Amino acid sequence: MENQTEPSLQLPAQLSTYAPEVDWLYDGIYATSIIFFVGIVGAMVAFMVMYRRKPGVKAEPTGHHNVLELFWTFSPLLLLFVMFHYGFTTWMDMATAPDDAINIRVRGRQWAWEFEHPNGMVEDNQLHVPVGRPVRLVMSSSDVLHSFYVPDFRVKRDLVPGMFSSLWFQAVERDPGTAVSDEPLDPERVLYTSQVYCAEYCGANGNWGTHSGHATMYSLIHVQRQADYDEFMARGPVLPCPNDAPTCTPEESGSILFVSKTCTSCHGIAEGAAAVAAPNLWNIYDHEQPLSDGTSITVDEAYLRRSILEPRSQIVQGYSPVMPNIRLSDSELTAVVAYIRSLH
Amino acid sequence: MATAITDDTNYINAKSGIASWALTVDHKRIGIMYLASVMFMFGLGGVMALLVRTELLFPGETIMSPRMYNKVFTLHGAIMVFLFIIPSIPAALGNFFLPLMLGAKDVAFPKLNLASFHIYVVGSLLAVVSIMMNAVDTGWTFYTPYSNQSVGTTTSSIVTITTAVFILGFSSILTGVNFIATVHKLRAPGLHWKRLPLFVWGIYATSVIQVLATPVLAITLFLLIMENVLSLGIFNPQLGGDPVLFQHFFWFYSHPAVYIMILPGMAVVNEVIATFSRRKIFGYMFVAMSSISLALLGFLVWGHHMFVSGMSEYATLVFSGLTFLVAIPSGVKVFNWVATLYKGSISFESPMLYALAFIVLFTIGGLTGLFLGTLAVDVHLHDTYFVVAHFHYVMVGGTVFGFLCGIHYWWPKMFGKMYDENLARISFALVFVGFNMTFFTQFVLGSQGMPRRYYDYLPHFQRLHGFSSIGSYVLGLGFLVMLYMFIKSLMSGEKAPRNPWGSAGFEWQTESPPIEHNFHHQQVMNRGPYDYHLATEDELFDGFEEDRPAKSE
Repeated sequence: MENQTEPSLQLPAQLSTYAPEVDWLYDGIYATSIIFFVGIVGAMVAFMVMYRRKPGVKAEPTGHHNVLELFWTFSPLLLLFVMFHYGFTTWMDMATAPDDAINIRVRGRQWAWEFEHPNGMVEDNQLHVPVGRPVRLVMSSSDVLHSFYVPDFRVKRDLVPGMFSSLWFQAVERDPGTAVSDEPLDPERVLYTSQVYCAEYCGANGNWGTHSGHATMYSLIHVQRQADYDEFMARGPVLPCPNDAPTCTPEESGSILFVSKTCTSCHGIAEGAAAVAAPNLWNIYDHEQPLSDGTSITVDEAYLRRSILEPRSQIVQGYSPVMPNIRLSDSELTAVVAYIRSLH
Repeated sequence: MATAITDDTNYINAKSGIASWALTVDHKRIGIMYLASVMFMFGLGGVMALLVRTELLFPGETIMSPRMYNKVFTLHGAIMVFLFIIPSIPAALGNFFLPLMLGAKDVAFPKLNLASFHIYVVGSLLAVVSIMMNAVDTGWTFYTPYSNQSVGTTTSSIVTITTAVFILGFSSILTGVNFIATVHKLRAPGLHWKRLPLFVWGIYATSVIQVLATPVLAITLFLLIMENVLSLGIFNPQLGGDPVLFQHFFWFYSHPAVYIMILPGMAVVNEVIATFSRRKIFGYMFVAMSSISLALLGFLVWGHHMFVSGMSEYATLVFSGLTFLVAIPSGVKVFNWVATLYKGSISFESPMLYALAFIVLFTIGGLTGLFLGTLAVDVHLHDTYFVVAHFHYVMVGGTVFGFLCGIHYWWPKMFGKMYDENLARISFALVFVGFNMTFFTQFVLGSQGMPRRYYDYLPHFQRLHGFSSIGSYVLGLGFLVMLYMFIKSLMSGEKAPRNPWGSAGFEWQTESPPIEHNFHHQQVMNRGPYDYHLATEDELFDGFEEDRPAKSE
């Protein structure tokens, strides 16, 4: 089936290989529904007009008609069986990833997504994938139920803490021929981007803005030409800098990472900010913090690193062990720690 | 001079004082108290809905914070499901009319009936207290592990609201037991099962579900409470539990619950279509049996709420197949209602408008269920606004319209007063248009990819969300006009005759309102409730002289 790469009135663009199959089924059910609706309501309205009460005309006593009853019991059953059959076969296609799929590890948490490539590179709230190659997501949650939903690909699967779930997709070209060209390789070039939503209610921290609740834990899937994707993977993680400058201080990188890794979901950073689920990080470096085991500690480099790498090991008194494991490379960790140290 | 209270005084005037209502064992008074309570709860849940839709008029903050929104949508669901819709038709209209239709003086266990009502009151009060102290924000489905987490909501608030629902469940179970016994044991002579009004068949099937399914909810909520208080580890994966197990337990009740909601709506529609077509429902036995089969098949399909939850493909295959099977009995009913209109003699007073609207809206709701039962398509539509639209079409377009149909139809009988038919038509039009504006839009929002339970949304969804919200205001206006109409009727409505709709049904053979013990003499049923060709002219006389057929006929 051909992919319709523009959205229709009811459905988004068909940007995965099996999206046309799903939509064919949707359209078939839609057509069936229209036929039944017009038939039922049409007959109803016709009878309302033809048999409206007229003086002197009595209603005919009802009977029943067994053959008619059996007909309209069993013929819809046949129709429904057809719907069920195709629903199931397409579902099985969607459940069975090809053997050569790239495996991406997805970790969902309140309220962000982490994508880990097979080579260990981690992307936060965005995922680069190559066009025309199958990609399998192996997913888990570190806290509550979430659900990974990409309308353009027609995929959705819950993330359940305590178990792994998976789905697969293969992104298709949107404009034919753009995946192959003579242009120089560019790890940043993207053919198109698809929106990812969380589709299982998971609460909110009360703030407006991104990554603060179920409604704002968005991610993006960037579909690239194979060659650009290979460049992106070869380049590896790059420390972000403000205004895309080529270099910057660790504190500057750290300030961007602090947001992109969604530490802001739980930690305040301003003087006097209200603490909810996690301590305010304003001006904590070189100061005493009481811990939940009764001891106290002076916040230093080692403590900050340990708090991120082993988040449930030394909890500040008055807080619960709820911080999830967040993956950072060593240079990212150095940058974030430098940033936290600079908050005063 | 005060009117003498005799055996012929109607049930409203027969006794006076708060105690005579609070301690009554008269099924009619209990029905009226339930009616007032559920209408109040409907108003409360409706206000929650208007708050939700107002927040969603525009992206970003409109009138409330994200946490407040999460509580408000949770309350909308919990109040509407547990405090309004499940009791609505059975407890209010079922209580009032089941004995009348059976030719009985009361239900089988009148004191148990009163107990059911008091249990409902206690459960509702506890729910309201829980809401006012610290409302939960888990969604009405209380999914774990979020409902175990003490970040969004406190342990005490989830324990109090689930205890309230636990208590309310017993009201539902005891009413079900009462109705089953009543139908089996208190039918008047001559009223064999094949002559029962279809309303009775529907209420009977509903009662069977209530008795079998509600205990599962009670146990599920009890386990959730224990999990929260004692950290048992049944659902919490950090303690070795399984979060998906909660979903299985929860939906094992909550799917049959939706049949508790729809069967009574269909039950009312049977009566109104028959009366306003002056004809027995076509395929009577098939319709009666379809109620029973819905009750039984409804227990087998709970997994269709969980296709993407991580269940095996084998399990999803079974649940999808059974879900298609359960679609058939509903279709059979719709076809039979339309066939009843054929060669009938149809009039279009407001109860009939609601019944006809039920057919249209329930058909849309049912057909959209097919999209959701189809595995591959459900992946795209699950947890989007498509689902929200689907269940509002069946629960509001279906059950609420059925409830309104019954209230309009039986209002003269219950209160002895007519209501203003013009106001009824105006409110019907506002409700019908407002409902479709609000919810049809949501099918499109859902299929375009808009997830549910979102306090904020991407800007390209704004036009559809805004239109839906405006529809909700039209819907609200319709209900306000209706409320005014009913209050005006109680205060100064025209006195209602015994049988204003000219129905052959048995409940119309008593006064409006009925006397305390329903009938002056033991009824003997020589005909069925839809036998217009066997009923006498007197039985069908609607009390308005100008409608009397000419004597020379």
